[in-house]
Amino acid sequence: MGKPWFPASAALSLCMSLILLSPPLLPPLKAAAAQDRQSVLEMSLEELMNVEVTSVSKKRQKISEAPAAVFVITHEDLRRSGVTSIPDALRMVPGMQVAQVDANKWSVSARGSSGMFSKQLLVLIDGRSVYTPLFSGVFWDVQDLMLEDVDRIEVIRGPGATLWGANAVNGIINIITKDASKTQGLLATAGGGIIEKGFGSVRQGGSLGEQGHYRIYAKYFNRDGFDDGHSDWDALKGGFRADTPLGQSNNLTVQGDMYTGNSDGQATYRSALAPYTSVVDEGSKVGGANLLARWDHQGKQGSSSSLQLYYDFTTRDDDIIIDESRHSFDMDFQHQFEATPAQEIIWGLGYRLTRDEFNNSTQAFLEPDSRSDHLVSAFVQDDISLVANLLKLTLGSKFEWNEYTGFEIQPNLRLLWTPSARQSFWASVARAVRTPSRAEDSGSIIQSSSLVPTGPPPAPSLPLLVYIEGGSSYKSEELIAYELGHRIRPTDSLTLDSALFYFDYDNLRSVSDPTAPTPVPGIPPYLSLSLPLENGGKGHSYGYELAAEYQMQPWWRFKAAYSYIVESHLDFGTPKHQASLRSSQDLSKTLALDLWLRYAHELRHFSQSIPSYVELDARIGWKPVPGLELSLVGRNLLDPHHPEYEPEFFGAAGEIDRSIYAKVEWQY
Amino acid sequence: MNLRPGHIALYLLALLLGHEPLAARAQSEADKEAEIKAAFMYNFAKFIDWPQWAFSSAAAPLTLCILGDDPVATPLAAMKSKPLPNRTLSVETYSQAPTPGQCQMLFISRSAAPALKSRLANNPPPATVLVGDTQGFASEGGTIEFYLQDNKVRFIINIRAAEHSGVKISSKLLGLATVLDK
Repeated sequence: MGKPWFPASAALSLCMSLILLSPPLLPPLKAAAAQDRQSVLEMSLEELMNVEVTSVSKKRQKISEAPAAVFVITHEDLRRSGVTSIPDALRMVPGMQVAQVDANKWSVSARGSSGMFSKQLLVLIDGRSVYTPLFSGVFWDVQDLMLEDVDRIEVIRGPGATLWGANAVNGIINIITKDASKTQGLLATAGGGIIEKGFGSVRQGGSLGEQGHYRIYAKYFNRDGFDDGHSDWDALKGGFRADTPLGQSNNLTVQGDMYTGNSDGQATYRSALAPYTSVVDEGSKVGGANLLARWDHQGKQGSSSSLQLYYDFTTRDDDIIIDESRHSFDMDFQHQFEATPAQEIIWGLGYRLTRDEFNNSTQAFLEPDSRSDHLVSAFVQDDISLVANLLKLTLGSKFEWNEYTGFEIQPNLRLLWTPSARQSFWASVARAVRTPSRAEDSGSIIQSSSLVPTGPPPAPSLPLLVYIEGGSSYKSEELIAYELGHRIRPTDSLTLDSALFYFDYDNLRSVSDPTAPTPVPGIPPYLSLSLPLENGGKGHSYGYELAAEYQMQPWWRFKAAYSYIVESHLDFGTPKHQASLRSSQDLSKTLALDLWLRYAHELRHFSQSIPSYVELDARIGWKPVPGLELSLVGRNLLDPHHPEYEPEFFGAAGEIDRSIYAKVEWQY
Repeated sequence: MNLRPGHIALYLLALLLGHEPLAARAQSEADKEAEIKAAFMYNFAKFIDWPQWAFSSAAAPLTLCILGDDPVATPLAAMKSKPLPNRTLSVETYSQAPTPGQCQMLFISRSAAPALKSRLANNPPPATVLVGDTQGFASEGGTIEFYLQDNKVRFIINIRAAEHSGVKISSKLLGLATVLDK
């Protein structure tokens, strides 16, 4: 266990004292709202005729009607499933592969190309990218949010490159928290159990001035690792969000978070000393802070624009492999307007600067060990109503300039056909790229270490250390994606959403001919061999996804998901079939029961094959009085433990344990 | 981490003891528009004369009804028992069409079935002012239709529909309205 990034108790004290101080400084919300209501009702007819209201933008397309494979995880889905992390919530989405590696590590990918370092998925939290350019992936253990204040998670499988940029190759996960006006008052949660040793959070929301709102929160958790506690983790996080209308057509949002924590695990340590390869315990101390500001403007005739700036800082040190600090600054502008009655155009410009400092270790080495990268991007998208309310064509492209591969262009074309209010069809062709990560461009990562004979006996045996070597000639990986989709609501209580895809990959990461083993004098002497990375991989994958929702009774709803995928190229393994079935029952006005059955087919690409599994989560929620909810959640109930994945590079295989926790949630 | 669960419990307790309840939810832009419409409807009730036979007795309240689910329900509910020149105001919500004569003003929300809307417009219940905010409501037989112009709430009054139902609209209200004479 390392020392925390800064005294955790100091951080907690700061957050808590801010919360305690806030009520007297700001006017109580109830009085303010009552006052507003009062003033409107006191107005004369003439005065009422002069009050300005901003009409909610009607042009913004409902995300669920977009010509893309979209799935929205709602707030209710999050609440009733009993999940405590974002990756666990993603298990209910068709086409997403989520495999837990240990208590704080997950492999998350969309439509194949699985891997803890899964490189083709873009993840955003309120518009801020949480994907790290270090290895083109996401450290899920530090993407912890107060799920009670998350409004929804939009998951789009397939390239959405136009609006969200490079690296949204296989999909986008867009996590959106609630507007501050929707998180007013006090919300406190506390709980604990097996695995979830203890957790608590508190959030306070109030008004800001005459029309604005804010919230401030702090949360803490302490979780046991599975398998004798190798992967314990804990974190303390706090933050705020403020939303203020400015005048009649503008809105300003400012938000920020800060966290510090520890994520333990096991790592494979390789060296020239016996026993050459060993599994060791490692403890990562993690920390970060971010600040984001966004200005939204509603223009005339339904047009709108927005400007967003954010700063993000992360640090991670596990004393063995990774010791990195990263600063990012991002600026994005977007404008949407009606060019002609049948054409709506959205265009934007973006700039990002990211600077890292990496402390090289014997396991991972970056040259240079510190780098600043600039990224400039622009996009344009035209939604054309070919036949009003029946046929819509979307043409768009993203243009990027990055420091590794220069200029990249990612066009896409989509068609939406809506023959009736109950049914729609869509088709899409898109090109997307995944630009090189820091590790691929400048890294040297140790892959294995073993004792090898140097010749026929009596020649000595020497340790051979094999490195995977990146280089500046590494190119972007490319995808051409062909997709078809169908949505139908045959009755008022049944919805079916399907998608078919064919993905054609090129320039995939591969390893070229190794260099000859080079002797390295030292104590002890050893042989070093490099496997240079190159883009020699080609492959394709195809599959089918189905999401269904059935309201069997007004108090009983089913949500199901099924995915099927066939991959031509061997990657880190994707199960051929996956299925999920959730049942939500309102047993009474105060009692709710949720059951979640999950199935994943076997994985056969590893040293040990991972068998297929069926698991069950269950949640009982009880609201004895308004504002109070008690819940009991059991996860992975069917087996005492089961494996889902085998970590690559540095991890060690683990299994996921059965767990249970109890929670109290109080709103005031 | 040397933080103990005990510390957290203590902080949470301190927070709860020193705190004031904040009951009401905040407003969004859609709610503001709903409030303006509710305030207008209160004024309609003030500036429209209903015939005496529209009420069961001299002490009966003026009943304002909402058909369907609409954000306007919340601000309207807050107006219950506000004084009017001659009567008190009462607010009711319905998910099905109310018995004719039960309501003096009926707001038909956009979520109410279109078939129901046109039935009410073609055979309006007597002495009932029909209010809506869907496009074409007034021209299809509704009495008052809300619309937005330059981000401000405006209303159309269908004179024929008003006369047909037996109510008299004050000139003050007519002056501020867009009048539809069909």
